[in-house]
Amino acid sequence: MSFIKLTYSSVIKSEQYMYDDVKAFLVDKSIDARLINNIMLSVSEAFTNALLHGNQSDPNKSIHISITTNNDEIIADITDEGSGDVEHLGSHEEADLWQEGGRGMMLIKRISREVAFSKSIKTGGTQVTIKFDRNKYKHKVEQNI
Amino acid sequence: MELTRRDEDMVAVLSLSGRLDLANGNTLKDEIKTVLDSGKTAIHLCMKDLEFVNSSGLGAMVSIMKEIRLRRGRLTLSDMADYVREVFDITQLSHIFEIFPTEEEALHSYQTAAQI
Repeated sequence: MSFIKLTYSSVIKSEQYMYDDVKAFLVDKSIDARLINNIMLSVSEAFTNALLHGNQSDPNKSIHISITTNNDEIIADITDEGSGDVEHLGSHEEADLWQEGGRGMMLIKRISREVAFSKSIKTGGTQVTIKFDRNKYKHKVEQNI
Repeated sequence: MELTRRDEDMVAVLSLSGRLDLANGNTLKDEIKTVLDSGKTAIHLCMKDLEFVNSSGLGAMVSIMKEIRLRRGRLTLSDMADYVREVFDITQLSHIFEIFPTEEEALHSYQTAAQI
């Protein structure tokens, strides 16, 4: 098992730093490239939500990222320091095609195995836990051979 | 994200590279506004070197599409990496954008449309 824990301030620039750090970690662990793409998209979406909605772009509040990998799955936790209101996060309608926002959570749900929302005991904010199945991607590689 | 522009007859061709996300969606919107204000309403986006797009970037794409339609213009896209195309497909945005496999095919479609 391997893991990485990272913390970023709630400024827009942090998203790029987070992306580079998490991607470097996953590449180092020889994760399937398609799975890396899906993880990066999901973590990016959850990070943006934490920044804009959870921490409301307050640079004094942080976003905490934790990525854990083992042979079967990869688990990403994204935690903000906001109010911890998780009730509205579970149900997301599909966005109207001409709507400019509202696609983030739908994307996460479509490309991950499982998404869960909870109130973080540590920060009091919202914690989003996203799980990915490594075997699903291994199977695809075998099918492609 | 980096944007480079060149004009091919009546079409403004913009090449996107890097990431299209929260940090640079406005850059794309501003550049499109500049193109439209210069009088060109036929715009092609080559996405060959676009490495990453998230929902914030998609929001910027929908915004420019609305602006171009408002000016009675046309927007085409091409050369999407499989992964970027997948994001457009999952969100069903591939239904509202004209997506061509290559830039050449996209630009040819403008010539064909002009001949009709």
